[in-house]
Amino acid sequence: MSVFFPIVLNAPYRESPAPLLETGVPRRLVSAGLIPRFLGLVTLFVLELIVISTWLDTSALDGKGGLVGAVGVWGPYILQALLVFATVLMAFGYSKVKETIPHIGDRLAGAPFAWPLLAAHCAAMSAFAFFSSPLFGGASVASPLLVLLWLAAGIGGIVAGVVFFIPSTTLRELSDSVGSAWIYATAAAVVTPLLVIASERLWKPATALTFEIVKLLVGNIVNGVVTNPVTNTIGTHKFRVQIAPGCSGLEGVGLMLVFSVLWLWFFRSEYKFPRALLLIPAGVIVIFFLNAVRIAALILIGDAGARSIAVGGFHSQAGWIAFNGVALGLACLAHRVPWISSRQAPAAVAVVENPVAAYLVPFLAILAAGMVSRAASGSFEWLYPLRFAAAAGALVLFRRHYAAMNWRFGWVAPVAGALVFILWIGLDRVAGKHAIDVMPPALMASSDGARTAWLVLRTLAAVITVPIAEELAFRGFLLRRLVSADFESVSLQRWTFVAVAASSVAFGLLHGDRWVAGTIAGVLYAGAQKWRGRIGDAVVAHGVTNALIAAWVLWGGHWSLW
Amino acid sequence: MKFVGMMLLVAGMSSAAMAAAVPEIDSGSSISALTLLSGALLVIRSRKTK
Repeated sequence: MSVFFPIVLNAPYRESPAPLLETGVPRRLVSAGLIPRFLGLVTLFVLELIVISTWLDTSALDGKGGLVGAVGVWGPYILQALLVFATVLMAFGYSKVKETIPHIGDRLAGAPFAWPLLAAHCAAMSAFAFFSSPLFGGASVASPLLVLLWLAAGIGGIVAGVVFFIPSTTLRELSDSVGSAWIYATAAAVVTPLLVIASERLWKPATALTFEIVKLLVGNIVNGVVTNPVTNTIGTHKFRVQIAPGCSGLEGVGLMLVFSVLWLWFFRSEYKFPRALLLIPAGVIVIFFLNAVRIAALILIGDAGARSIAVGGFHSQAGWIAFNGVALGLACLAHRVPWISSRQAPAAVAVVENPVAAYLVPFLAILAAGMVSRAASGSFEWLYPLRFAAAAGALVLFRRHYAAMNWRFGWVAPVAGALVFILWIGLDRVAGKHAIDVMPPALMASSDGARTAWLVLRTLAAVITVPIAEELAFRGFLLRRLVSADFESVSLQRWTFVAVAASSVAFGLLHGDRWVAGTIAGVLYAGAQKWRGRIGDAVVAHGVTNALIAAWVLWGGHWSLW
Repeated sequence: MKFVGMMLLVAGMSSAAMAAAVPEIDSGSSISALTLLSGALLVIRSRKTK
């Protein structure tokens, strides 16, 4: 994908030293290379998509006939197809165009933006919004003409937006270069909605099969299973659940299908075919069965008296735990079983080294422990200290690797950390999150000893293990890996636009609805690291932010921050 | 890079599949779950023998 092509931020501008156009506007503001243009296009469309999908609900068109009704029925599928098309085209097309990108980027860097096209985009999207009001507002004036005008405005807006960022000549050049990626993207865009529609027809039989498996599993463990096949309700006298179509196991099957097909396709040179294809049905069958196990376990947990855990954390996390477990197992199996893998088996005395593990395992340990602790939690995550223990264990395991790193820090680190703290609480205030600042009731109701122990371990995790693990993963590994595959050879002072932007956005996205603050924090921690080229500066900056947030929570009572 | 492309596709497909929140796979946990899977696969594939 083109966004991963690194651009050195401080690289000399192509037409330097002429900094100003005749208008007095710096040229950098009116022209840009391919990567910034692409990122600008994606940002604009994602923001608009968020606004549109939040504002417009196609269910408002349900029951209406003709063209209006067709928009209501097919609109979500068309949107889904467009997203799949763009994703597949980028993923498959990148390898074909990566040689061309630098040349196109050089040429575009000197070409000014066509601002009238941005004005056309804004005008078209305004018209789209104008026509959306009566169309989705249930007004009786929703005629076919209105729908056609609405569609024309939307399509016109998309075209003008695309051509503003990437000129039509460049688009033609790129489309000529991507080769067969067009075929894959079109096929995926057509097949995905059809599969989604077909899967809805499978819900009923899949639910019935899951119901029978759950009945068998629970019946072998407890006496007196209560069932109602008409409503798909199953359980015990104390606790029972209804297996909804969405719980039938098809979500996991769909995900596993996508994962296993893509895995075998991308790494096809490493496997023996056709026997490797057996992994696909194997993964699908296992994940379907594990969904029934999940429901059976949920019933048993509820029957044992832990109702809040059953319907709370376990219900939402067990599906992902099963999927991750099966996907990892499938990949390991494909990698190591000689009957499937075409890789040469390593010599028995070979020394194994893994430089990535030291950077990623502590962070992955936190994520894995978080999933387990949430799965075992009801309304409050009592097992949060598990994250601290998992990260601490991983850090001890790789301690020799860390001994070679520079953990010293200077004055910039606490300053950057304090800046992020101010930004964090400031954005929270703007979003109105401080309005729900109360200690979780379960924590308040616990004994003094339990509460103190939980708070101490929660604070230690926030101030020590989380900053070390996250900075190793995002600044130590990801930022440098986006510059070069041999990431350890990349200086901690090396910055590229794409590496900093992508690693910071990834860091931000892991902070949920605080992703904006998280992304800016990622850039500032990367800046702290760049200052003297020491990971210690990034870790201390992060630790200072988290320590100030902990103090703000514990002494200020701002519990929504935790 | 091949690996990144693959995980992007999985993430894209899964987000498309989970347009409506369903109980089996919790969309609220998708980012951390897919990050965990991607990271673990990356670690497994980064093992080198010498």
